[in-house]
Amino acid sequence: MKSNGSWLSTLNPSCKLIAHLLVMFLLMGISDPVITLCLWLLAVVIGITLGGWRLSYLLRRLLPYTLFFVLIFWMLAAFGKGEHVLWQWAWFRITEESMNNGLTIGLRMLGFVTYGLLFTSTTDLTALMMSLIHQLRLSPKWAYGMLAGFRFIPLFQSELQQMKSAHKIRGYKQKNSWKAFARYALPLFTQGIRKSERIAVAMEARGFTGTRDRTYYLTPVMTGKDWIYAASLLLAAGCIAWLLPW
Amino acid sequence: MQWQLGCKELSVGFDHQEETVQVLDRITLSITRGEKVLILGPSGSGKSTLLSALSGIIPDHVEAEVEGEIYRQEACGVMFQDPDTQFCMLHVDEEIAFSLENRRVPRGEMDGIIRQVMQMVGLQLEPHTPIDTLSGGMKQRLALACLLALEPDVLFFDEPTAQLDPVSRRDVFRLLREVAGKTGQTMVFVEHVLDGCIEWMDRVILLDRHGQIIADGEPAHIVTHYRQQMEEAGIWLPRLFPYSWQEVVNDPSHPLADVLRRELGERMERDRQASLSSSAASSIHTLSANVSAANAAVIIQTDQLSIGYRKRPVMQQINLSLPAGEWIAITGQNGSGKSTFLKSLLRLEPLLSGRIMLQGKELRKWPDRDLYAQAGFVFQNPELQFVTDTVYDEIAFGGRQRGWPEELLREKTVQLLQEFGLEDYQDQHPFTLSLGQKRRLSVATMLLFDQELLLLDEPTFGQDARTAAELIRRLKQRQQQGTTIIMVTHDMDLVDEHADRLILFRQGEVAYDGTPYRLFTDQKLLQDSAIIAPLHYRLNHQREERGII
Amino acid sequence: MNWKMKEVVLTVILAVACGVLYLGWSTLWIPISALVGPVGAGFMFGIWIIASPIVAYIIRKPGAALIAEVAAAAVEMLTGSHFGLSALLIGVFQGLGAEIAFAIFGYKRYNVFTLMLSGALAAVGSIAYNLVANGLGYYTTQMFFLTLGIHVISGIVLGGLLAKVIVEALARTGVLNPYEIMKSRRKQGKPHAVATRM
Repeated sequence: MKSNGSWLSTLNPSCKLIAHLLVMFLLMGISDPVITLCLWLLAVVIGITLGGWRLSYLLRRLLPYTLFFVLIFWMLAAFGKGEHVLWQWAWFRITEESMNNGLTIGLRMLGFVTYGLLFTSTTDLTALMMSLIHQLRLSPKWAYGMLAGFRFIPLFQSELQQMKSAHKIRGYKQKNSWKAFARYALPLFTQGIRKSERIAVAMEARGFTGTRDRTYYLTPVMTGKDWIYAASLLLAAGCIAWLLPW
Repeated sequence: MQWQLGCKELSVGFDHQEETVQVLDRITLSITRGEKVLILGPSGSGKSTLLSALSGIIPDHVEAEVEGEIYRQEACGVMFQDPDTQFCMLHVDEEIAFSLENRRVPRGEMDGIIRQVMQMVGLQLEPHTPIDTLSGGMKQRLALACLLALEPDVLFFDEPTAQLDPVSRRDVFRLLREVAGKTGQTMVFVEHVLDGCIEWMDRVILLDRHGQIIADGEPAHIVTHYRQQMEEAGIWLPRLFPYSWQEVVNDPSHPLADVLRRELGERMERDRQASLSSSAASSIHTLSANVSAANAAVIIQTDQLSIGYRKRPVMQQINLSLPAGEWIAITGQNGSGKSTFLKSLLRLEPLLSGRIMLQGKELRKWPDRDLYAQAGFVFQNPELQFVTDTVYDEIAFGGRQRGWPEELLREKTVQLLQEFGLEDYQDQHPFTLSLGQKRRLSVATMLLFDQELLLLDEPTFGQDARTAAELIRRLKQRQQQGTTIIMVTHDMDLVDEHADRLILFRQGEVAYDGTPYRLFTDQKLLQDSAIIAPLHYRLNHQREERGII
Repeated sequence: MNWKMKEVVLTVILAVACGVLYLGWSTLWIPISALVGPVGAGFMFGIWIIASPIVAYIIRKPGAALIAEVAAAAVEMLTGSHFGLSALLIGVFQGLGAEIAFAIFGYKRYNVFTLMLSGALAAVGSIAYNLVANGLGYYTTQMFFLTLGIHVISGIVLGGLLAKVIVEALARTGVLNPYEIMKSRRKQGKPHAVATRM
C-alpha cells in the first residue's frame, strides 16, 4: 500500500477510510442494479479525476474482477430464488428475479472493490497507521506492532513460493488440501513466531513502550479539504441513492 | 578505573516445556567505560544471554529466572544478527525517527539527527528509501544508525555479521571500528567470526558449554593459549591475528608467512594438475567427432541460456559446460542471478530463453520423478523443505513415495542417518534440531537415491566453523564417490580449499570460468568483482608488489 | 487488557502468515465455487477463519481472536489484490463471531471445544455478513440453510480442529515456550508436549 501522489493521496487516511466505508455501507442497503451501477461509476469518476488513475490502470486492476463479477452473477442467477423461470438444466435454475439480484450483487461487489482500490491505491501504509493513532486514538503499541508485522508480507510470500519448489523436488504431493495447508503453515508459523519475538525485543530495546508518551515523526492532521471531500462524497452518493429513483 | 557494567554471581535460566534450563552459571565480571569486549563461546554457552542480561533485555523484555546482581546503564543500544527483525518501519528515515520518537526528541530536531547518523554510518541514500531495497550490509548500517540515534552509553552487538557475506562483513566491522574510534563508547560483542573484529578488541571473555567463564584477558593471549577451546566452540579463528599484516608481509621468515606460502604452493600444484587433465580432456574433445561421447563426462550444459525475474533478464547468453564429478562453485554479488541460475538447473525457475541439457538430455524433457532422483537441491533455509514430522521419516520420505520395500528403505535411511551424524535424533521433529543439524538433514534427504548431482545454495552461510567443516567433510566424501557438487557461495576460503572450478557471475554475464587459483591470482578481475582472495594469495601479491620474496 | 509487545507482534505476524496462506486458498476457491455454487465451495470456508482460533489459543487474551482475523484480512487489502476494504469488513464479522466463543467462557476455557465453537461462530459471523452485503438472502431458502450448515461444519473442522492440530505441532517444536499457552501448561504441571532441546 503506497501513496500515488494524486490529490486523493494528500487527504487524511482515517477520514478517507471512514468516508469510503460509509459509501460501502450505503451500497449494502441498495437492491437496485441501476443505482448500484451509478454508485460504482461515481467511484470510477473520482478515481480518474482525483485519484490519479489512468484508464489503462483501471482496466488492468478491474479486469480480473469482471471475471469475478460474472461468477457472482452466475452463482446468484443459477442458485438464487425466484418464480419466473427462464432456463433450467441439471441443478442450475435461472429466474428473472435471480438475474436481477445477480446483477445487483455483482455490481455491488465491483463497487466494493473499486472503493477499496480508491483507498488502497492512494494511501501510504505508514501514514494510515499514524493517522489511526492521531485521529482514531489507536494505541501506538498496535499501530507500530502492525507496521512491524506487515513488513513481512513479501517475505512470507517468497517463503511460501520456495516451499512449493522444495516440496516439488521432494516429490511431496498435496493429496488432500487441508493437510497441505497444515504442512505449509507449520514452517511459516514457526519462523514467524521466532521473528515476532525478535522484533518485539528489538523494538523494546530501542526504548519503545507502546504508550502515547512519545513524539512523532509523522503527524497527519485533519484539514478543511478532508471535511470537504468526505462531505461531498457522501452527498453525491446520497443523491444518487435517493434522488435517482424519482 | 570506572566500572560501567558488570554482574556478580549471575545465573540465568529459561523456562522450557518441562523444566527450567540453566544457561549461565555464577558469572562475575566487570567492564570499564570505553572498553571493547568480545564474548566467545560454543552455542548454548549463554553468550547471547549474558549480553542480554548486561543490556537489560533480560529480564525487562525477555522473561527468565535471574539470580545474582547486574550493574547496567540506562542508555543501551543492541544490534542483533538478523537484519530483518530489528526494524518495524518501512523507510530508512522513519526507522531512525522511531528511535528518536521513543526518546521524545522534538519533531524539529529529527531531520538534522537523521542526516547526521546516516552520515556517520556511511548510508549515502535518500532518507525516504524503502528498507526492503537495502542489502544485508546496508541494513546493518541502518541498524547502527538507529542505535546511534539513541545516544547510548554502551553499544551491544549480538553476532552483527552472522548473516552477511564476507565483503559486507569486512565493511561493517570497519565501520564499527571507525565509530568506536570516534565516540569512545563502550562496546560489547558476541561474534563467532573473529577476522576484522578481534584486532581492535581490548578484552576477550571465553565461556564454556556450561555457561561458566573459562578465560578472560587480552585478545592475543586468549587466541594463542585457548586455541583448542575456541576451535571446539566452532569459532572461525582469525587467519592473521595475533600477528599484524605488516609484520607478516615484511618478515620473510615469519612463521605464519611460512604456513601461507606452503598453502599457496599446494594450490598452485593443484591448479597445474587440473590444467593438465583438462587439456588432456579437451584434446579428446577435438579428436572425437562424436558429440555424445564427449558429453558422457559433461553433466550439465547450457546453451544460450537467459534467466531472470519476471521476464527481466539478469543473466544472458550463458554457455557453460559442467563436467561430472567436479566440485563447482558459483559466486557473484547479491542479485547477480547465481541463485536463480542454480534453481533453473532443476526447473525451479522458468528459463527466459535458451536451453539446459542434463546428462545429454534436454532438461524440460525429463519427467519430474527421474529428474529429482538424479539431482538434489539444498535450500538456504532447510526448514522450508521438510515435509514430515521426524528426522527418520524425513530421510525415508522419497523411498516411501516410490514404494520401496521397507527393508531396503530402512537400510538406506540408517546409513544416511549415520553418515550425517543424525542417528541420535531420528525420532525428533526436524524443526527441533540445531541449525547445523537441520542443514545436514536437508543434505541427507537429497541423497537417498544416490543422486549424481547435488546443488546447494550457500551451504555454510551463518554456520559456525565446526558445523560448516563437518558438512563440507561429508560433501567431500560424496564427491569422492562421484557426486557432482554445484554450490552458490560467497565464502572464498571454502572455494579455494574445495572447489575444482569457480564460475563468477557479474553484470549479466559469466565473467570468469576456471580454477579458483587463476581467479585469485588475477588482480584486475579480483578488484573489478569486489572479491577478497584468501590470505595466502594476498600475501604473495603484496610481497611481489614490494619486491620481497 | 495489558498486552505485552511480543504478544502484539506475534498476533500480527501469525495473522500475516495466515493472510498469505489465505491468498493461495482463494485461488483454489474461485473455480470450485463456479462449478458447484456457494454451497459446495462452503466446505473450504473454515480455512479463512483459522487465524482466530490459532492466535486466541496461543495468546489467551480478550480480543485476540477478533484482532487476528481483522489483521489477516488486512493482508488481502495490503497486497492490493482481492476484495480490498470489503475483506476488512468480512474479517470484522468473522473475528467477532470467533471472539464470542471465548468470551462466553470468560476467556478461561481454551480447549478443543471452545476452538471448535469459535470456528462455528466465525462461520455464523461470515454468513451474517454475506446476508447483509453479498445477497445471501437472495438464494433459495434451502440453499441458505444448506450454506449455513456447511459453513458451520467447515468452520468447526477446518477452523477449530485444524487450528488445534497446528498449534499442538507448533508447541512440539518449542517455539511457543514463552507464550501463555505453554505457561499455563507449566503451571498445571502436566505438560502435554515433549521436551525439546535448547
